Amino acid sequence: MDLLHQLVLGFGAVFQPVNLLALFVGLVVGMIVAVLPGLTLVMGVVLALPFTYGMPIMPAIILMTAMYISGTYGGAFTSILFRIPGEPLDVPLLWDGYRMAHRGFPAKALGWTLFAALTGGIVSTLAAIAMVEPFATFALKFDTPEYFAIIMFGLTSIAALGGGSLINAFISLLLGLMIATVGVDGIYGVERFTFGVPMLADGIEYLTVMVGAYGLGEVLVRLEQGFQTPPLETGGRVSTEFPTLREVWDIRATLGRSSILGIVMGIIPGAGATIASFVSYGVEAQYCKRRKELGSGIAEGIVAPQTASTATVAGHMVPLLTLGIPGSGATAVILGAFLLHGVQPGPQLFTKDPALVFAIFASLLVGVIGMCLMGYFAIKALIRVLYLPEAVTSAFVVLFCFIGAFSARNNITDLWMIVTFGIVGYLFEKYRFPIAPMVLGCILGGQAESSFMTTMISYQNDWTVFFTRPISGTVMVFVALALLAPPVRHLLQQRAARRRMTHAGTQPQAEAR
Amino acid sequence: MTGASPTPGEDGAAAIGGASPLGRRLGRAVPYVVVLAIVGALYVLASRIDFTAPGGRIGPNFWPKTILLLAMVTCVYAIAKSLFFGRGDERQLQGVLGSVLKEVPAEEEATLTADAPEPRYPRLLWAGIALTVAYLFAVEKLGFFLTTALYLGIFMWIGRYRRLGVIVATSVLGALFFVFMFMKVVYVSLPLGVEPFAQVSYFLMKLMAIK
Repeated sequence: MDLLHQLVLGFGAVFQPVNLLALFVGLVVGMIVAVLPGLTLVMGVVLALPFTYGMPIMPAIILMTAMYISGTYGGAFTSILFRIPGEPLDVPLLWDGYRMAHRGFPAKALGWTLFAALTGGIVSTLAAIAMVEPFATFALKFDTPEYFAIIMFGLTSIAALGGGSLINAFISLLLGLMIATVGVDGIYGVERFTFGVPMLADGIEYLTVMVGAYGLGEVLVRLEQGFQTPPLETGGRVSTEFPTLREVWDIRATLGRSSILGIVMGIIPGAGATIASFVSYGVEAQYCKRRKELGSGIAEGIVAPQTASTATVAGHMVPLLTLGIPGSGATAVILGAFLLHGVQPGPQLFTKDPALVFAIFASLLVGVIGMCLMGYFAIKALIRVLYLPEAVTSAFVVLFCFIGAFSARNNITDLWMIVTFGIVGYLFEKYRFPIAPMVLGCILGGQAESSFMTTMISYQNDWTVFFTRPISGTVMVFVALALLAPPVRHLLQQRAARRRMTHAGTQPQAEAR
Repeated sequence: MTGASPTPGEDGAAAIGGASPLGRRLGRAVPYVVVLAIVGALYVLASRIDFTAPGGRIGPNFWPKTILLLAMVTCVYAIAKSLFFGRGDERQLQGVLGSVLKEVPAEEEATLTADAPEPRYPRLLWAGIALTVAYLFAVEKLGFFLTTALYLGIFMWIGRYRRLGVIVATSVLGALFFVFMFMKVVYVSLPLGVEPFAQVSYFLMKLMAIK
């Protein structure tokens, strides 16, 4: 009952004019960012950060979460209509969404996407609201070993769940953790890796790493490609056709599976909307009734990735708000916005400022409905942004990156940091090192070190404490599983491939006989 | 955004695309050798941190040294793998998402790689980096407005956009928007520049009633 009461108060806060305006602006900008190839969802949230400096915390966080959630939906339009995925998470929509549109049903494909985003968003937000208080109460029992274990879980899972080389992800993560050690250490006050530069004594702001690597780095990659946007293939009337109740009933299992998967993927620090989108499609490829038709333009192939990716947003809010641990690049920026406003997310936030927590969830619910209305009525206007020349938008992106970092400390040295990490980001992309582990390592590195060191001091250098305490021990088992899952999967895949090859080799021989 | 990352199948060796198998293996190892050199140097630095923690506690260099050691071991493994077991990227150990992608049917996977290979324009990249560095040098001298307007215009030109009228209008209006938004609305103190360029900043501030 208290939960419901808090939620009603949250809705009251969201419908305040300032917060409603922030929500609306966030939804529009999030959609535009998602539609534009060359601008990523995380970049969009990063670029919005400087605008929030002068705002009270509530509209600031509402603006950013609105951008985040609508960013998981906006890219679907261009994937389905033009075969241009606005975000990596929209790639699975090419397989069935674009094919359905290509078969002559673009309105239906858009309708399925809208329905999936709406379902994923609402179901996951309600689930997150139900989970968040027990989570926070549970988190109050945590001591430093538990925090260390959870941070380790987040860091290892982002490396293990990614799409590229595990080795590269691990190196990226370690470099991020290394960057976090620069400056005066928090326990003994000793300078580390400052090279006599006074600016480095304060450490490297993770904001500059994030803005540089995600923002400028991405622009440099696109610039080297000559800012080439694929030609738009389709034209004519663009509309949305809702699925019928009967059609929805037929795919109820897909909806259920992908909603749950999205929430779980959201709660696991490190997994994100892109991973949820791909994994959800992969799950449907194995379990849905029409799995053999997947890839030919069926509803399940659209609903699964879209539902899961939108569902991750509310899921991500759970570890962010209850533990202060961001699970993705976008939530890392939102954490940055919290910290810049002097608020530390964590279990105490629920006792200190429950109004803020429930306003965020209420804004997610209102935001999901708002983004779907926008997707339904403003789709034509939204896809017009695709005609903006990328050279123009990229020039502005770089400027936003600079101002974003400059505004935090009014220090020109931060701009040099951005350029440095922009080049690092470019090199990472070029040599296929994922950026996200580095950024998350950089953000969580300080917390990881301080919880590790405090544990070591409190427990007389007994490192077994991480494994012998029930909660931290359980989480450490998950850490081990996260690290072992990819090699085990790899071995199984190799064995299956060998078996297929042997089978293929013996079949012609048998036929020849 | 997609299309930004190198396409599957490309990697560090892309730069030496047509090289011999040994050359390709060496090319694959180069990024790891560079990282190894950096983390190795940092490890030496971390070992030199002169501080004895009281009461047998672990010192401030324990954590960075552990991370650096792990990074070195990982790099050595990656180098050895690239040089001695140099296999194509498709056989590399990948994260869970990578494994899921492997299971996507071949036709669908082709959708992902259909746009490869993309043309590269390294000169544009170098020009972009040079312009960005020049911006940082110039912004304190010329002031935010002038430098930003110039930067926006030149960047668009470097990015192969050639409609001069749009470039000029967007650059000037964009720079004005930034000045108004950040100085007037968000209260960020942007660089004003030195004389005589500072006069332009003062004029704009007066025009926008920025105190």
